[in-house]
Amino acid sequence: MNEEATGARFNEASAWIQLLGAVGPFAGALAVIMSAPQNAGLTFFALASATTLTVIIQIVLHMVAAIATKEEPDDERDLAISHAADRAGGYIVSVGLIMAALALYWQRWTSEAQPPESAFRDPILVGHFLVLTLVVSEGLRTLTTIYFYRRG
Amino acid sequence: MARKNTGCVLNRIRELRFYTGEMTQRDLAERVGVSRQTIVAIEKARYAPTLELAFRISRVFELPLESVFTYVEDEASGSA
Repeated sequence: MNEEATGARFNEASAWIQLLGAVGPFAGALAVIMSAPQNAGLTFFALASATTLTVIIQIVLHMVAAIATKEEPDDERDLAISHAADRAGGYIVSVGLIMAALALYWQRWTSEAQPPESAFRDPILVGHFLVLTLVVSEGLRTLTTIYFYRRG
Repeated sequence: MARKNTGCVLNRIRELRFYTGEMTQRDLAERVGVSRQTIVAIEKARYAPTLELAFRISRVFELPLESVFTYVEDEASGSA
């Protein structure tokens, strides 16, 4: 028996599922949104579709992972990894929220100077930025989780 | 001013498992209440256990804590 090989555990499998299960739907949503960045209806539809698809994919794959991996309670290392991953994701959210607030102020201050058709006058751009912040934050959180589990 | 902590916790768990009838990582993990992956990480010095877990591991081998775990400071941190 090779004791050095670490078996797949539910937490690590879950992190992979969260990462890979979200990449496809949200990459598709991003492509749709970028094709018409000022179309709020299309943006809403793309994000709602991506979110729904992601939830369905993750529920199914988590059920498979729960069946395939041995059930065991989290120990202190699992909690330490979870805290480290949450901290990494939290930094991104904090920076993203501050930058979104600054972007709103900037839009307000420069609105007179921008031409009416300018995309920089559209508040939905800040909405896009906030959603992107959450996606990047979640991506970093899951990548951090995977890194610490893979490191051994 | 606080000195930056650059040391690491080394251990003799692999050696002690050998001397305890080649105890498996899984057996040790079950006896101290953690996953086998956590024992693997501790043996490789990739994860420093909490004091409580370190005591539990030491008790399995019936040895004092400092006979199982050693704190080693890096050269850079020195002893100044």
